[in-house]
Parts: sequence; structure tokens; C-alpha cells
Amino acid sequence: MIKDITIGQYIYKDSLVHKLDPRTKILASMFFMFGIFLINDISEYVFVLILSALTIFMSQIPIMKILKGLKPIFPLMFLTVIMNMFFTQGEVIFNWAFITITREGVYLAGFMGIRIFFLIIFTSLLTLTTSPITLTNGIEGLLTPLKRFKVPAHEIAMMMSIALRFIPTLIDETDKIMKAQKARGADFESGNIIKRTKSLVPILIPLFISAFTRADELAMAMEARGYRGDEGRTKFKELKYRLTDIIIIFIFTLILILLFIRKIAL
Amino acid sequence: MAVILENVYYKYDVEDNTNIEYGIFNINMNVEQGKTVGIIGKTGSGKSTLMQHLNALYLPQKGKVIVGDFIVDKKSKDLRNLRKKVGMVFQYPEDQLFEETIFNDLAFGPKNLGLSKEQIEKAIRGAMADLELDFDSMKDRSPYQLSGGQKRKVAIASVLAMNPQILVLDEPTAGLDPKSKKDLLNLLISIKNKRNLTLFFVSHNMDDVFLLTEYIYVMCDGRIVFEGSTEEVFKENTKLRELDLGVPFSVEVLELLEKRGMYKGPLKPMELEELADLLVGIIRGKND
Repeated sequence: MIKDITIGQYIYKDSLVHKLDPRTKILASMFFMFGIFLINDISEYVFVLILSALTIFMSQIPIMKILKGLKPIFPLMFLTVIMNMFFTQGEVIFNWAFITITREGVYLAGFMGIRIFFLIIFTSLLTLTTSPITLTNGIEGLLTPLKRFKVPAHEIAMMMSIALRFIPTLIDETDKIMKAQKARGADFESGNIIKRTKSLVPILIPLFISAFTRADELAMAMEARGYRGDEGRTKFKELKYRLTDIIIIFIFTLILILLFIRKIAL
Repeated sequence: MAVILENVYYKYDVEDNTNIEYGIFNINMNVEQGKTVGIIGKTGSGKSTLMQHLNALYLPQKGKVIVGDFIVDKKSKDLRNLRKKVGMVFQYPEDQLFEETIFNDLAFGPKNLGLSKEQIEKAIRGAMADLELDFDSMKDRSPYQLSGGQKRKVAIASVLAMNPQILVLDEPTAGLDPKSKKDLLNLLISIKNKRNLTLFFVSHNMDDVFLLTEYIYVMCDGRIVFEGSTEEVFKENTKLRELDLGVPFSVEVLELLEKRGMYKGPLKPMELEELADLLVGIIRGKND
């Protein structure tokens, strides 16, 4: 029942996008996100569309997989569009009873919709082409310069990868405890919101206890294998920028700068 | 209560490329009231899925499960009355304990069934007595302070407190030390007789299965591949080995003796006392 949740559903393909350094992919995605919020022009979105299509094509990820990722975001997208459409002041183009639609509202709603669309497409492309471990490695890599300011880069990355690793385990555990309590006559479906929230206690307490026990055991196992944090730790897979990475970062930086200049110039 | 399964079919939605079907397929079972039935099969053979059909945690996609007067099929609703009749002890049942005191934890099931205060206390006293847990000294203690074996007993008592008529046990002795394990098995036998329960017993330990059950269903890849009385099933030592299952210790000993030409008889499972007598017989016979 709760096994349908998929987080970071990485799909292995031997593609150019998969082979990029995770840091490149994270940076490019960030630049892309800034970029799409700078754009205010349909023609520029055509360019973004081409860029996205090209990236998806190169990644060899089936387009349906990516569009599937949009499904859970759809209600949010819809809400944003509706809100922008109805609550923006400006030149009235439609008026009926209390509903007023303005020209500016339609534009803004359209842009918002498109922005969220591209945002989701690009971020899901990032998780689809990068395994969770590589992704956290990349985050660690990007945070490393901040160590000088006492940012615990390695610890953050380690925590993230452990959390990701244990999501399926916890889901299994929840499933099991839920069934055991159901067999004892527990009812999670009926009653009002307070009753239903209360009915979660018999699941949450055993779940917390087992999570803490697990954490304890994991910590001990890590220590037993000589883990002592960042210092002196070597990597099995060293991150290394290659020529393609440099080119990609260059392209995305250039696009961002150009968009910025255009925005200011207008 | 009798339990009948008719052509029960349940398939999981698994998106992978292994071409293995997961679930249970065309299961037929007929278990009379008061019987003790063993279900054996290697990991992933569908035992747990099958067990969870007995109290409608899974609804059969095809076929039906008949428990007493209840008929469960894919459209069944309001399953609480059925769950009252079928007590389910999962693997490592102590993981489900959550209340501050043992009393409260044991009261969770009966409370969900809507029993009165007096009835709840009576049910808890009965369940604790059956598992040889002292009510007065233990009721206010936290279940988390207990030893592993005690915790297991409390968890089983929490199921028994619902006064089920059918008890399903999934590897009830897994992870216990030898003494707790033996104690628990003996308790389970006496509880079964005292309460006149219909018992389902899932285990990988063939000696436990031999000790407890009268009838066995052997599962492989979601199907019942053969069944029979406990003695009949354990005579099929080669067949069981093919299914990656073992045989009781006594059968193993007899096999080895047969290989060395010291024994020519049926390879039937037996209790250790009987085995010892047989060995004494062989030794004496040789010395003559």
C-alpha cells in the first residue's frame, strides 16, 4: 500500500548525461532554475524547451518516465495557475459575477505553469540520471569549500545518504507494524481526524524505537569498521571534472549571464 | 472454527524483469476445527502471504477464504469481526509493543473489539496466565524492560487476549535462546489444547514443526506442492531436500545410519526418546 512511494528513482543508462560529474549536474540544474525564473518571454521558453528536449534525448531516459514525475505535482501546478489567473490586478478581459480575469493574470498564470513544468522536468532528470550515492557525493563536493566556514559538508552528505538508504527499510517496517496492529483490531481508516491521528500512535512508537535501535547498531557497525568522519577518509570513486563537465558548466553559466543581461537591459 | 480456502489467488504488482511471479496461486486448504497445521517452504514461497489471507489482511483476488461463518472474497468489508476470531502472531511480534505498561499493551486488542473493562481485565489475566506471566507483578511494568523471551511472550499474550479461536504463528521461536524456545513451544502446545484452538504454524525448523503439527502443507513458488499428515510428509526426505527444506533431526540420523548399513527401516520422524531407544536397540543388536 505505501510501497508505491518512489524517491530518487534512478534509472541506469550508459548516456552522456549519466556520465557527467554529479557536481556539474547539480550546478547546471541550479543555473537552469535561476534561468527559468528570469525569463519573461515566450520565445525564450522555446529555447528552454529545446534545451530540455536535447538533454532528455541525450540522457536516454524514456520521456514517459519523466512526465510521470509531474503527476504528483499537478495539483500544485493547477492551484498556482488558478491563483495567478484570478488574483492578479490589471486590464480586465473577462468578468462574470465575482470572477475577474485580467490580461496580466493570464500571462502570469501561463508563465508560472511553464516555470513549474520545467522545474520539475529538470529536477527529476537530475535524480533519474544520478544515483542517490553519487548525488550525495556531489553535494559533499560542492559543500567542501564551505568547510572553511565550519559547514560540516561530509557529515551532511553522510546523513543524507544514510537517510536515503533507509527509506525503503522504514517503509517495509511500517507496513509490517501496520499489519500487526490491524490484526489486533486497530482501525486506521474510519473516524474523524483526531481519532485517525491517535490511531497512528501504535505505529509510530514501534517505528521510532526500531529506527533508534537501527541507528545505534549502524553507528556501532560503522565504528567497528573504522569510521571516524571526514579526516583521512579516501574515496572509492573520486569526483573529477572532465572536459564535457567544463563545457556544460560553461554553457549553462553563459546562458544564465546572457539572460541576466537581457533582463537588466529590458 | 474450521478454515477452508478455495482456489485462492493473489498476485503482487512487481515491476521487474525477473519473470518470477510473486504471490500465491490456486491454493486449496481444508482445516478442521482444533487441528494443528504446519506450513513449510523456503523463503519467498508465499507462506506469509497465505497466512495473511486467514484474517483478511490480504483479500483474495480470486477464490474465497471461509473461516467459520465468514466468507472472505475480493469484495469483503467490515473485517473486524473476522480479525477477532483469527489471532495473528507475526515474526518478531515484540516489534509491535508500544504501550507504557504491559497491561495497556495487552488491552489494545480487546479495547479495539469494544469489550468492557471487566471483560478486558479477565481476558488479560487469562492470556497472561496461559503464557506463565505473573499478572500482579508484571502488569505495571514497561514491556521494553523485559528480556527477549519475556517480550515475545507478552506479544503473544497480546494476541491471545483477544480470545481468538484460530491462532496463526509465523516463526514464533525465531531468535530465542534454546531454553526460551523450548518453553515457548511447550506453552503453545498447552495453550492450544486448553483453548481448543485451530493452530497454523509456519516455521523453518522441522523439529518444531514435527513436534507441534498433525498435518503439513509444503509450499514452493506460491503453490502448495504437496501435503499430508506430518509423518507422511517427513518421510519424503528427498522431495523435501529438492525444495531446499530440511527434515527433522531424527530422520537425518536414520538416513546416516542407513547409509552405513546399520538401519533398514522406514525413515519416520520420531521424538528423541524414541530415537534413543532405537539406537540402543541397534547397539545391543550389534553387540550380540
